[in-house]
Amino acid sequence: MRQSNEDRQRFEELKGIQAIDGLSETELAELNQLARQLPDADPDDFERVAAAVEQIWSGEPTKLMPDPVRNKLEEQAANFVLANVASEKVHTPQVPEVSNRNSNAIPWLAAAASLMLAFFAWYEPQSPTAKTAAEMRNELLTSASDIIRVDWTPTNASAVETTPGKSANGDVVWSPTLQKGFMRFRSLAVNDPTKEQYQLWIFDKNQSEATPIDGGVFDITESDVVVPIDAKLRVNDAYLFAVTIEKPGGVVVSSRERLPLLATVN
Amino acid sequence: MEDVLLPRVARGEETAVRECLSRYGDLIWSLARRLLPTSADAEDAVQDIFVEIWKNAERFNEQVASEKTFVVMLARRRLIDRRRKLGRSPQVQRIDETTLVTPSQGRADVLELADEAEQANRCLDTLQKEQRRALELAVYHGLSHSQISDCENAPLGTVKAWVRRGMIQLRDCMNLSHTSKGGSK
Repeated sequence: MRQSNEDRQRFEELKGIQAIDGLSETELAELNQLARQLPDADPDDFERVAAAVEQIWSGEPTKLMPDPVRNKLEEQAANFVLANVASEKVHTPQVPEVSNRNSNAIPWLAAAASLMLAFFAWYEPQSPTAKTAAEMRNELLTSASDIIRVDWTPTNASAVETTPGKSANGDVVWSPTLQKGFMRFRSLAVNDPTKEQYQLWIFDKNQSEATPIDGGVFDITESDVVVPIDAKLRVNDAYLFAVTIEKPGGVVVSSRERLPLLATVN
Repeated sequence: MEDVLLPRVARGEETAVRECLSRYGDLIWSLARRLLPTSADAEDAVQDIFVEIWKNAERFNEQVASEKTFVVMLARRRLIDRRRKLGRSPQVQRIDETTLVTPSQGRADVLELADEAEQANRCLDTLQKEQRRALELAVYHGLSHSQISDCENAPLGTVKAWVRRGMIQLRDCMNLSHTSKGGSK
């Protein structure tokens, strides 16, 4: 009985790690072994709980899958169906057109074809006519009817983050309907991405001030740049945009110690 | 309530495979962008996730969880696995007390939620403050147990216990175990 209790405790500990950190091969084997030993064991229940909670905290999808990604997945879906159909035929003896001599090769051929199609679909070179961020910003300005446009205001901290001898400036444009926007910077200091990166924060009236929306991590590579906004959550009613300097990769919650630019929505 | 697609996907219906992509594409993309560091990582991940969903469609059991929960579960599993392999995860500096506010608090009531999610909303209110915060940092912000330990200045064992007990309490409150519903996997 005591052993059984210890096993159940370990089983639940492993499920907790699986749902949050993921398991190593060894830990996964241990989890599966315990699942076989314990009566009424459900190895997936914690992951299911996390998935249900995820839906509450994430709300509606905040990002639309980009068309190029969607197109590639649609091709992949077609390949998946094709491979499955081929495989089904092999396993269905009454289908006359599949000869025994070739049947073993069909799944391999289907898989190979699928892999080749997936490879070419996935590694399709970018179109030479891909638009620049500046062009997309101009398009947004002319197409969206609800554009918010505010200028960056340098803070005291910006003195050290600005190109020497110049004051950082620029603006933010944002369309609440399209959930799309761009930042334009002039004379903001070029950063070394291996040491630090810039990060945008969007303050929304529907969010606590302590938890602004992460607007994405970006680099300044030259004196005059346009950067797309990459909001991680839906922005309903923005009242302030802020740029901070963070560790490479950005942070979940900023200490806001280095905050060179702000843009306030009137 | 939307029709379930996965049984049709499991039967190899092409339209269902495409509908699955259409229905869950934005959801999975949003999840991947939030939990992975770059857009390129997210692109790779969503490809893996959809293959995983299509391949595992026959494992879906409507009696145990909603289709959306099943899809999110598979997606999270792949994303966590990928993040583990990348050796990267969101970095954290200081988190103050006010970050206890749930990210989408105040919006959940206007959303069309899956049954489990509606129930989860009610059950979350029954958790202890520490349990809820640990789960929020882990599930929503994607922090590991050790990162939560650093953030909260709490021993790792304590953080694991908060998460584990929170999970058990939610599972029991939401009736989300297949053993409690007689479903099989």
